[in-house]
Amino acid sequence: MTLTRTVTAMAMDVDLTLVGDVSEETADAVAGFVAADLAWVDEVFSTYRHDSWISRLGRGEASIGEAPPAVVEVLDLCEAFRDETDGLFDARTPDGTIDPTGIVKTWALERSRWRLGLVGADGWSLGCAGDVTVSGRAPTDAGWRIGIADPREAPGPQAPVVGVVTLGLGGDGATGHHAIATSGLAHRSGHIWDPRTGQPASSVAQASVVGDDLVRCDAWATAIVVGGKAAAKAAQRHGLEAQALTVGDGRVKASRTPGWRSKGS
Amino acid sequence: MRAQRAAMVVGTSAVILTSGVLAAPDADDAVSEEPTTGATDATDDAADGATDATTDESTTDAGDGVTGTFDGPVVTNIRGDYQVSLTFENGVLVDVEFPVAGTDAPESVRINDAALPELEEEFLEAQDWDVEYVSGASFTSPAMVESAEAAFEEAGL
Repeated sequence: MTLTRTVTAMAMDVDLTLVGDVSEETADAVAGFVAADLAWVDEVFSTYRHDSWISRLGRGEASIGEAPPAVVEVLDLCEAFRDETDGLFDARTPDGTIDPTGIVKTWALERSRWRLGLVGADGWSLGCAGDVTVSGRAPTDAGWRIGIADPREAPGPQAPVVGVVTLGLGGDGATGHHAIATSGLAHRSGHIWDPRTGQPASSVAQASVVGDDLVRCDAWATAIVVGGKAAAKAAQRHGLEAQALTVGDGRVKASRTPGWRSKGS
Repeated sequence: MRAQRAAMVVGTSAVILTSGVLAAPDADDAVSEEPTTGATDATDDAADGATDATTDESTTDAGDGVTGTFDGPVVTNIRGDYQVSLTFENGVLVDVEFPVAGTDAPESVRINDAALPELEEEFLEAQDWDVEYVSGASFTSPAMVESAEAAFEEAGL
């Protein structure tokens, strides 16, 4: 049996799938806890909230020492990924403030992971837009099949897909990895900017990264949208597989690391 | 003083032996008043000198030779920046470190990246596949959009 729950956090839908002998009440309870976790993260990290710790730090009204330890943890992660991606992922905005939004969502999903481990499900997935992490058994023997959204179309759960990556161990062509992150320009120019030029990124329309740490996949997906194919190639150095999509003349071209495994061409 | 210069020669020679690819510090400048033919000559000189300090590592009677860690200048060549740090105890070279060792230089990064497998390219078509989840760019919750639209309507906007 498979149960699904959707909670809304940070203005986005977070989808939870539980596979196995799990009661409706248990699913409701764990979805509630996950929602509360995410709401707290939003209160602390949202750059859209005037009174969040990140906003107050940005205005110089609070110091890092007063903020919850999670703030230091996330900012440290941002710095670590800035280093790892050679500056392509950079939480420092052109106007000099810090905006960790790029990895806060995936950090929050990973942070709630332990709750799902306690439910007693045979398998579960937790996803939000481009970013999904799975564990254990999938709803069917086909495995955890994750569609790569067509970058030419508006993003959303109904978006057509241009390829399928199978996460986890079960199913045809399974990658053995349990996380995938996708970043894209998604009709929102300026959503991702190039820290080297301060201009919106433009070389890659959409990038997906497969690995085990969802936050690392997320940071690298962003880095590849900024840094293009060279960044996709560099991701291999960190045990990741990547696919960068470019759109030209209405056609979608994929540039992949040789270890990338997906169905569809 | 003389022992210290001799120690520098030993250090320089040790560095050259330790790392063949290293851009050696300018040996002529470092020992301009001393023979530059190598460690053996230099230690012989030191042993013959007025002080009983010696830089010969086989000598256990250390005397008042130089002790401490000395950082060389950062030297740049085509492979990047290099810096050597030498540590002496009583005139004996006991440690050689490379605080800056070239791997971050653009040339080194380019060579390292060239060693990574190349990307494979392919054109993709949208198709109907059964999937558990779609991974794409971020989007606002459809429920929130619908609710916001209704609120705008309610407000007569």
